[in-house]
Amino acid sequence: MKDQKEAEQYHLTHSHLENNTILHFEGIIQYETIGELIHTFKQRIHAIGVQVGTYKRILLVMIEVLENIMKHSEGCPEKSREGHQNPVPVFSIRKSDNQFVVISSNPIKGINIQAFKNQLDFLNTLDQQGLKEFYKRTITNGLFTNRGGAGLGLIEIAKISGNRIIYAFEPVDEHCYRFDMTVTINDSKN
Amino acid sequence: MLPFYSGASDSAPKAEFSHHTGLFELTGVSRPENVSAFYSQLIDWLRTFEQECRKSGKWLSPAITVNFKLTYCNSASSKYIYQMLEIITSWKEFGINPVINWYYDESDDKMRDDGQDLSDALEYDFNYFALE
Repeated sequence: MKDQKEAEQYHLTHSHLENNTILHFEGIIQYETIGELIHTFKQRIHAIGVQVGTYKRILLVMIEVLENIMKHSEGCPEKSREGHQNPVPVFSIRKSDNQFVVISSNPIKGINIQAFKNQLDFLNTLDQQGLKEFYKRTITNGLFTNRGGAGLGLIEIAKISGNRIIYAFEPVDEHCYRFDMTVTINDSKN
Repeated sequence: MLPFYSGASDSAPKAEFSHHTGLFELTGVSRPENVSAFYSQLIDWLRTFEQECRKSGKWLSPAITVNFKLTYCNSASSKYIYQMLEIITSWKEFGINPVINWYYDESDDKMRDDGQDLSDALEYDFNYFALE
């Protein structure tokens, strides 16, 4: 489902960041894991000396991405119905020349991907003003998911990033996909 | 009816709502494990207070001031905060004008923007205070 251009961008994003990893985690992400990762991130980012505004934007994207991973991974057991090993969630934050790159990979139920893809494609068409208006429509609609989700997470990620969200879905089997997402955050001092 | 108090944790803000003083305050970080349960108790308290006022046919508090002193909040929290503020700002029908103060770290433009987004969504003016 990943088109050629996105595949190239995805490869570029990954291949240029080999040794600039601020945070890397592979494994099941639970609520407590998020707290531990936030703690580690805060320690490491302060050591780098990033401006507060940039630090807060990375932190907020990180929280939304990790909460998304937790929510979607819950629907996918470690092994698929056919006995395949489902993908293990991966989360990392890396520094490139003038950006921070938040990379995630997690299993997601196939039944959920079309709505997810539609929302990501729509968000990628919006400029900042469009994102603000969509955010306003969503925060005022009074709708919550059965887990208390607000439908604002991806909008918030897009608003903070200001850049196109790069993503791909790769099928594992007919029930489960691997969802890869790359979010870039410009370093405000550049 | 008693004032509402809930202490801060690593992931939930301190919440202090008192109809005796008219001061409602949220302080700290907001990404509670069960965001629905956390904010529902606050929303229920606000609705109960509103019902008490309706039953007695008069406003039962000094003027309302709402202080947000949040260092960060996740998107789900924002939606519940919006719902809380929808209730509070509707109290204009009782002839009061709730004041909403939004405090943020002076170098944290994102937190300032979050307040502005909520204000825009509510179509209600906030006061902003940059903290050094």
